[in-house]
Amino acid sequence: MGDNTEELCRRSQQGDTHAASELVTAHYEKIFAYFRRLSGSDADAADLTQKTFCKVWKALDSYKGRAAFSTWVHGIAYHVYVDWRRLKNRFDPQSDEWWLTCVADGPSPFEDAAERETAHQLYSLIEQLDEATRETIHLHYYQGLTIQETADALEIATSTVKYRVRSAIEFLKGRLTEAKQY
Amino acid sequence: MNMTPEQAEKLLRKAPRPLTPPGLLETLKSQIDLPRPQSEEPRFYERPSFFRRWLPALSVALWLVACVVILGVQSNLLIKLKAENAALRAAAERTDAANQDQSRLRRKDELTRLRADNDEVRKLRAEVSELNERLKQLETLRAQNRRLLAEASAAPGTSPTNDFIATQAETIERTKCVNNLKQVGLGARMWSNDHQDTMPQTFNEFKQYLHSDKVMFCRASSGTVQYEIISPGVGEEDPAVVYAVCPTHAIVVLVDGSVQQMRGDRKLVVRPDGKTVIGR
Repeated sequence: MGDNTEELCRRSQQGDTHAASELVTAHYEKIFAYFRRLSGSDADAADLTQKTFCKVWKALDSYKGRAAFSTWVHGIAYHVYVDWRRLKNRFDPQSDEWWLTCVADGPSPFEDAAERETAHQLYSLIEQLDEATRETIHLHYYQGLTIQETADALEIATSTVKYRVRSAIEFLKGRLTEAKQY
Repeated sequence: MNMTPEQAEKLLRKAPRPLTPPGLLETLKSQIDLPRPQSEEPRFYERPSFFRRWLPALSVALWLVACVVILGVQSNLLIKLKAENAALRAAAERTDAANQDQSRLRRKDELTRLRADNDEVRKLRAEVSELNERLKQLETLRAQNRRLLAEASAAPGTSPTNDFIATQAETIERTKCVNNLKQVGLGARMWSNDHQDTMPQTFNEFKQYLHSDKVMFCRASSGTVQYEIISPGVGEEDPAVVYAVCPTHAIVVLVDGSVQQMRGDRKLVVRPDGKTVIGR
């Protein structure tokens, strides 16, 4: 997969549109999901996805393969999202309804109703985290990037990523325990 | 229910992926705008020419060569100037030495001539002294002669004569005149040496060069007369020119300091250039 992606990148850098189409096909769903979770809107997510890939093509020559292509694209997506938030001044947290809908849709990955309920609470709590920690959790858990890739995408140190993840887990654990007691 | 961190992470990783809207993939594919493919050959600005790559080194080398050439030229000029300077200095030293030699020789000649003149003057003075002695003897002899003449005139059949005595007196006068003119000529030449080799106009100009003011006059038995300067201000370059003359004894002193007597057919002649010389 990695070698194939690198080959597609190389061909795209040489102007191969088919290779670029394959790259889009392989990554657009993850990027759209990233924006969809963060923005809470299909239209905004689609718009941001298009902006992200436009920047990817413009900056394709500067991609030297030091990080994985997926990580590099997520880094661009992160900056696109930050710019969008700054431009629109959107700091409102994601609503719970979307997660309820999202969790209920389609074939569920959860084993039972209790796990689904717990996941629902968990995702709702994630949206209550501070902005930096929330973006880190999105990239690391939702998008499936490793600690190193998350650090590369956010352009921060791996120790910072680890600290944010640990503090988020502690926060979630504490809030879920409190919810059970009540 | 207590949730462990592992369980929480597991649930987070199971987060559902939102469905992509239809048509998004096609839109994204249609928006693909790849940069212009780069050729395998490096671009011109990435592969500078030989001259451009070596320009800094070439300029430094050129500068160094120019400096070396300039230094060489300057050193060459300096060496030439030093050589010329040394040659000129040597020539100047030679010229100075030659001038000094010439001046020394001239002084030596002048000194020799002055010494000879001085010796002659001394000799003449000695002669004058001797003549003075003879003059005294002559006075005695004249007195004796007068007495003898008186005795002879008293005696019958005798004729008085004093030709010898008169001749001797004339000789003494001429000798004194020659001596005076010698000293006049010597003093005038000494004066001319100090005044651009030009003889004096009058006796007053070179009076201090004479031994005594008496030498300016001829004390003959017929009366005392001053010598006559007939070539005042004449240059020393022509030694045959007559400078002064004694009107009584026809004795002349020439510009070269020699004294000559005008006897026989010798006489003073004025040349076309206006200078008086001895002629016949």
